[in-house]
Amino acid sequence: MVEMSENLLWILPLVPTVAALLMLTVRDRRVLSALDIGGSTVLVVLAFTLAGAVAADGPRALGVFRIDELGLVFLLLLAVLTFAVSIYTVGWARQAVAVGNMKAESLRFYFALVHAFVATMVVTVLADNLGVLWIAMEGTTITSAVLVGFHGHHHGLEAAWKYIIVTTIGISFGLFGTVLVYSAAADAMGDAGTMSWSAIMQVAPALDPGIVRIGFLFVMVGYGTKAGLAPMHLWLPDAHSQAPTPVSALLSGILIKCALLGIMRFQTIAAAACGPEFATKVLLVFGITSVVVATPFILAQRDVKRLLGYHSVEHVGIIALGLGFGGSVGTYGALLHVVNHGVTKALAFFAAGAAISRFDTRDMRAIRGLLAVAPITATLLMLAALSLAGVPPFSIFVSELLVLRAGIGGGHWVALALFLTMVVIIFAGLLHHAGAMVFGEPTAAARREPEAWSPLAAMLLLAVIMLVLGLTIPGRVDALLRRATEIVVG
Amino acid sequence: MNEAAVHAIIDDIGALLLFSMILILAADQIYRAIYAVAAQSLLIAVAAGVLAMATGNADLWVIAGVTLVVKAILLPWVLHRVVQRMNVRREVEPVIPVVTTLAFAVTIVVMSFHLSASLGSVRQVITGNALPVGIALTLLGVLVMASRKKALTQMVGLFASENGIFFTAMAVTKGMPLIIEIGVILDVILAALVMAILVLRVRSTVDADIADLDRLRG
Amino acid sequence: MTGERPFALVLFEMSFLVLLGPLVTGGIQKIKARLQFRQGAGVLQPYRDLAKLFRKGTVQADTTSGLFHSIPVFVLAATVAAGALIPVFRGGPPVVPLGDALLLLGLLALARFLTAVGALDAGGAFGGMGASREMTVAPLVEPVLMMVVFSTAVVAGTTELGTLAAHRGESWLLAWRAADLLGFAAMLVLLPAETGRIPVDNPDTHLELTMLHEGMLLEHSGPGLGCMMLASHTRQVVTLGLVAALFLPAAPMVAGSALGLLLGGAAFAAKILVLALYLALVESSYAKLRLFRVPQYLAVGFVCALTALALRIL
Repeated sequence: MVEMSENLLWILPLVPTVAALLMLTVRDRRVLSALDIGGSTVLVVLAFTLAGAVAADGPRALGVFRIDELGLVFLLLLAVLTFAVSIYTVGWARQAVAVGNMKAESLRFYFALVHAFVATMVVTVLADNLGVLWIAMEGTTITSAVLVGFHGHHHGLEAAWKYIIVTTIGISFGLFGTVLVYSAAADAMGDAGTMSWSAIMQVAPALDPGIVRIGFLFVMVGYGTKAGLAPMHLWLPDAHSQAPTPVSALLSGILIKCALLGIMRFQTIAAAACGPEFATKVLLVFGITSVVVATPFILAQRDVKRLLGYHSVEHVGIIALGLGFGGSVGTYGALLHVVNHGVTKALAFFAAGAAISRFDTRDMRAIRGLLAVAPITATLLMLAALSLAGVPPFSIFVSELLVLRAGIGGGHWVALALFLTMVVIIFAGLLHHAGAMVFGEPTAAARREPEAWSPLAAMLLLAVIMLVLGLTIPGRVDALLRRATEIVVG
Repeated sequence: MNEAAVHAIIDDIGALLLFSMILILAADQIYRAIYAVAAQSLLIAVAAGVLAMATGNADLWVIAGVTLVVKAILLPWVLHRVVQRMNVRREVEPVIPVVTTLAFAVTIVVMSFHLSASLGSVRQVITGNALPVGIALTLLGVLVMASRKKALTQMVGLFASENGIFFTAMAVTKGMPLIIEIGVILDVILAALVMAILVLRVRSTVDADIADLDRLRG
Repeated sequence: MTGERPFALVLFEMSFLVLLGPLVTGGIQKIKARLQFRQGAGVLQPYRDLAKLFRKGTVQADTTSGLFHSIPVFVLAATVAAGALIPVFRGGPPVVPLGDALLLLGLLALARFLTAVGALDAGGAFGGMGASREMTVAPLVEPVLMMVVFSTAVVAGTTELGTLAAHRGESWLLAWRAADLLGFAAMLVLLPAETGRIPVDNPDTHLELTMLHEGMLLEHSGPGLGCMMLASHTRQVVTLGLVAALFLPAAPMVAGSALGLLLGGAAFAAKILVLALYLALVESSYAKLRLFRVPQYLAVGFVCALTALALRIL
């Protein structure tokens, strides 16, 4: 049993890679979708198997890969979202080819790229070696940049360019920080310097605090760019709004969280080397900046996907705030928020994507009366908006509450006050926009065809998860999150 | 070759790297910037070779060779071809005047030295001038990317930044593990290819430079 | 070679520099001509020009004041005095303390200032334009020169040129520190500016839009012009000697005064030749920069010098 689960560590990245290669050879859309769903199902099954193995016997390692409870949180989120995206894509791809947004011949490249993208993200989550983590991060940038510009029109290409340039600059900073931390480790360990996170953690208290401090700052700026923290967030609204909808769901749902995982790995090293206050202070500053900066843009938005992009910036800021408030409560809340926001944001993108294709426009003022032409989609859109705004009984409310508690416990009154104000403002803004889109008389441009089943199925799946996590946190999930928190807090 | 001599040579190469960085910042034609970054990569390869001779680490020879072939020859050649295909005006268009850029550059250099002086004194003896030069090169590469309008000069800035990171890695830690360095170089190649493709695609449809597009606002 | 230089040697070096100046200019002209596939004038042509000028009479504009008459002499005096501070045959401070590198830069600046004043004195348009342009270039050049001197002086602990040259000593490439490389790069950027050559100024032209230095000389004639030309030749060789003293190695130490002098002279000549070759190559390879681009060009030297200083101090 032990060897089996360790083999999973190299099988997991291989599954989407093989799927991607297979897809390059297929031309039929239905076969491609079947491969898509098949590949993601295998991924989900394997991920949950691994989770079971880790719950029973603890972390597993194999070569440059290692899985612990912290990585599991992200891995499971990635698997579930990939599964949901593959279901959604069935209907989405059909419609895109029919409308003319996508050429039938390029479909196989699209599917293959998505799975290559997923494969790089799997490597990011599983990586124990900090260098491999970086390489995989850059790999996600490259694959997703091609996906962002996939449609080929100017806005998409402009977004793709900004995305690849800004994130590559950012990630160069991240590499620099990695090099610095590695040099501190090589110093402490003698000639057997290694980039393995687990090995560095063992000698972490002996690392030179000055170098680790500078390294962490560079990593914060670097991986923070990839996560969408302000002020390095300028690429995010463009990229997440111009990308094809399933890709947007993956980008907002899990990719920015993978960057946060990178930050958390370095945070644990920094906390052990120079004390927890430094890292949490830095996270706090970036977190509150993101929350404050994103809010006015959310209110002033017209493009619905762009609004969702800015909203992601906001919530990445909240996750950083949770980590910055620190302690078990804050970290638990941040990790829970990772899952909750991922699921809810993907749902929101799906619903928004359906609405956009129905009304043939992204402008929110032109989308009216969704409830009349697509009732299920409209309901789900409203639920997603309510959840994103932080309304109970949905999941985001729970995690935001935990972050608030952590802030009160730590006495960060200024940050708390700003946080609460922004949350209230966003609540109002989101409800206003969502309500305007859902209710009222449908415009003449609305298409009145029946709703496709596959996007609905994907959305329903995510909505169920969202609701369940809002009402209660199942025991196994709670245990997982608790152990992950322990890894970060130490 | 003894420790002190290697140390001195690496310091000198660091100074030459800074000089090439200044040339990139002050370049007023794209071709000059491309040649400067090629020379910079050549210097990095030389530094790797020197370190390889000194430490006897065979990995460093591989890195020196790969850097030489890929970053000093191949990537500048790709950039050169893209410039020719794009048929653009050869001037670099800065967002802020060149003199202001150079002023920023000086501030960055001074800041980098100050920053690494704040580290412990033991650390300073080991790293010497290499760490501040590495920090300065990385930040100056970012300055080039931020202060230029043309997409290709932004890519040149990216390569220069990567050179800075490589130099720091080599000088401060005597090289990262070989696999990692190869992986990083591969990533840089792929990123450069994707960027080149984006640039050409936009150029063929819009006849504008991709970095000039700014319709996404707000 | 260290040890102090006797006063007689200093005087000999000074006169040697003055006499060498026109030869260096002639040499640069010859190299440029050869690079352009022409024969060019002989290497000794500047001497013939000077001789011709000194034989001619003076024509002076009505609008000039009495000062104009003596400006060429003052300029020549300042430049020649600067020449006295350059160690030629060997390193080491002079027996009688004469002054340091800062005094040298000050004397060159004084010469520049007096030339500009003379140009303005005549009240003509060319003089005014040449003077204003020269003064645009000067504030960028002189601080950089000082920074380069400081960056070499920090290590030696003195700004006295003879001591600096001795400190540079006989080792060369391996003794050059990182800061020296940048300082040398800065000096190479500045050399065309200080000697009035392309890409900053065109020494062969008399077109109104392209003159800096020549514009300021336009009103002088006869012996006055001869003095000014000799001063510019001397200024050029003094600047080259400064670079050689700061950065290039001194001659190997040999006992015996005559042989030592000969070797020192040969070494100096070699250093000057290398730098002259550099100037000629730069002049043949580039076009003259428009005036508003000159600060951009000089800023590169500025940044190099500042970085060199930073590397030394920080």
